[in-house]
Amino acid sequence: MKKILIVLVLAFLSGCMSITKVEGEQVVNNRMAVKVTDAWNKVSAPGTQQPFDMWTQEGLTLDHLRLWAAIKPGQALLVRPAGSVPVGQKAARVPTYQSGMPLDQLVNLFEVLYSADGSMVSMTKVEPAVFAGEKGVRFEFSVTRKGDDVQLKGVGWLSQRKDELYAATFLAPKLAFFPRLLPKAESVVRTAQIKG
Amino acid sequence: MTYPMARAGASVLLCALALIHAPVQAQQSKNLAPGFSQRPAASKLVVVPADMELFSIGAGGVPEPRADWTLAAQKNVQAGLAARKLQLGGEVLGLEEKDMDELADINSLHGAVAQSVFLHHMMGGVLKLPTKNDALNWSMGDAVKPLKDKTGADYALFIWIRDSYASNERKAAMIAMAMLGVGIAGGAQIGYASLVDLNDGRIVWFNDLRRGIGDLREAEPAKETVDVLLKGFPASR
Amino acid sequence: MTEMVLGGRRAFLRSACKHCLGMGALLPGLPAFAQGVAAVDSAGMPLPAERFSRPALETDEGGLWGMMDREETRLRRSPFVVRDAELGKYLQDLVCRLAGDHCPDIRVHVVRTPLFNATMAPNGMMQIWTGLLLRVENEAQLAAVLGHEIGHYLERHTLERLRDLRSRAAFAQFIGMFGLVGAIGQLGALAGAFAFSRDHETRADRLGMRLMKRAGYDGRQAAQVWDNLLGELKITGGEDVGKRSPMMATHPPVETRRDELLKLAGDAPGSTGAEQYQQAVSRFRLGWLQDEIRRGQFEESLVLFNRFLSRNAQDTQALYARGEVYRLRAGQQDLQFSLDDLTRSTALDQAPAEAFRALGLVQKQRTDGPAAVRAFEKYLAVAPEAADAGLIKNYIAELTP
Repeated sequence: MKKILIVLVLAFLSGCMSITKVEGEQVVNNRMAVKVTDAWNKVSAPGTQQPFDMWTQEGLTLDHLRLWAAIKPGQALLVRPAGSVPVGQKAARVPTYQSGMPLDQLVNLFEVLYSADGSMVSMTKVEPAVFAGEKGVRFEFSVTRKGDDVQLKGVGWLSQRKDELYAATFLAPKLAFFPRLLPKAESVVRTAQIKG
Repeated sequence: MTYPMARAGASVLLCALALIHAPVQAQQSKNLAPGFSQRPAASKLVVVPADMELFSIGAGGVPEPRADWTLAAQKNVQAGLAARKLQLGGEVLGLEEKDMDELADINSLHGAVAQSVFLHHMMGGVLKLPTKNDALNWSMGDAVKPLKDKTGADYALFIWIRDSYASNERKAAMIAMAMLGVGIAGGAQIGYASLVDLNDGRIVWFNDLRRGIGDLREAEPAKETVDVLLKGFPASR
Repeated sequence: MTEMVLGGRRAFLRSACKHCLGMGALLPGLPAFAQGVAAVDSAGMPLPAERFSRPALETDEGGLWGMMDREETRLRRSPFVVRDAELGKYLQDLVCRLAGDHCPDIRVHVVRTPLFNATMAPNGMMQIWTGLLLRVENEAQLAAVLGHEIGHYLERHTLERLRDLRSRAAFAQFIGMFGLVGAIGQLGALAGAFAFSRDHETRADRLGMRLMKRAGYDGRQAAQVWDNLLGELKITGGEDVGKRSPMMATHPPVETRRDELLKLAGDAPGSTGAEQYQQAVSRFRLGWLQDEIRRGQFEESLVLFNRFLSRNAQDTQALYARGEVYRLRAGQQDLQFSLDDLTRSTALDQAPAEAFRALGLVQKQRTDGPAAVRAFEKYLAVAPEAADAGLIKNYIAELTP
């Protein structure tokens, strides 16, 4: 099976992974509330704690909705798994939020994030928008996945408040899945509200 | 350079073998999409070239690809499918490998869908997607249109198999280790067979294979693997 | 089943430099083994004159070919392959000059990946990554790397490695069976496997040198490749990365390699083919520079772009690229460095549209509104269909009183 599957199977076997149903009122990282009308599946991997929540409709090899809330300056948007850095080597840079980053640079963080596994990423649209009640940006992008050559389409939203970053990205195969599932992602993202 | 994760990964892989040796679930409803039980009479089926790779495992556990076995397996699976003409139904079309050039996107997309079905539905357990309510409910939608247009078929059968066999040295090592009280894996089959409705893109039937036995290299035992893989394959009436 | 079966066909590909440039960030690593060094045979190596014929299906070589054929079928359909007739012909011709009679058996595929690497499979499938094409400065340097890969192919190293791994693993199992020294014994038996690989790499370097010289290239450029790479490697590997022979290295230390190649090159003259090379890749360079920037590895990118600019201070695209990286890194003095580079880039002919965008963003960051608006408007004039036109127009509106 392809690499993605192996990683998932290993995570499952290490007793790490769990998948729970999410619907109704949900809160991300205690700081961002969303309303979920059509239930999603939330994937948790307590092993490597990522700074985002990850939800899926059809499965991890197909689509995901990632939600970041109250990311602080100096915090990475993605955590590289333990043991991925060879002994004696310095770790590679990971996209990291800094306060005062302009919107275009925040979008760039996600471009880097999605290319980290060797996938080809291209931003196709970037325009001002409101997310979680704050002025920010909405961006569209395409990803060609390195692992299996599948072409995916994505949409992202981000904004800041008081030097904290809030963001969401939805990615799904360009054929059939993206058009069908985007409304479900949008209906969640539309309701996002910063708490506290 | 040492890579600590790879070392940890090795021990977890041993656990993976336990999973691979798990018995195949034979529940009818797990393999069928809700509301689907058989294909309409006179429906056409296209068999997509099976994606197979057979390996020999040497005494030390190193897997080596075997082209002759893979070729034999491809022939045997084709023969096995042909021998089940009754089960497959009247009109069965084949596709050549070169036909797949223009169908690469559908093929890779189906691979991703099949992986999610395999992981979240067939393996299930803690990996189940609660919103699926234990149903085989996946669809490729209109992504399958080019395949339908090209072949005129109503259904497509995709097969994927990875199979490894213990070489004689490996078997000897297994016996020796067994005498010392240690079990080592001899080889395993993992794979899936997936039936897609080309009119609406739904996966209407899916079966997976996870076991430590089975032999695709010879015609007769290969028929057995095909039998297990296609167990419950929906007839056309 | 082991990782290689589950890991797929790509695990079997030979690579020029598995641990170069961020590979550790992308690919799972090799397991740890103890070090052992095999003596390298410095006797002359004969070049196999006869082309290889397809091996019988039931042999281990046949198995590898079969698997690589299937991988090549997938590759031919992959969106990652750069399909350009002109570039393809240029590279195939170069490979033919190097491989001589074996030319018809080697098929070149250019794969869009922003890392320094090339691989060669026993069935003749060669992959060249765009990160390599970005980094080499001339035809001779490319010939050195491709010659090295052809060297692996001609000596059937992948096959040897598989056979060797198989017998070593069996030996290790044998030791394990009788409970002798347990894990350490197994490590000792398998340690040789990596020395064997290092021997392969040295042989491939030598064979590659012979091939490139035979084709008329300046052998010293082979050493230059590694010298150039050292700078980037030091970013994550530290200052002594070039001298290290880390525990499980499959390749000799980079400095050793460079020095050996320099010795092998001697004083013989040869061509470098800088102009021909730059001509062949000029259409793609901006895209590859942007792929490099997208990696987000600022320090490595700066080393690379500094090198380009040390060769040609008026390299418009490199000025833009370096300016962009300074802007994104946003370190203490980076904004000033960025402004300098982008001002120079946009003043030159052929400045890419993106340079004006970057300049505008820097001016905005420096709160020089009018300058920012000027640059943004130039950007939108040149690239009205830009993906971020919406955002940039919004910036213009914000900055215009």
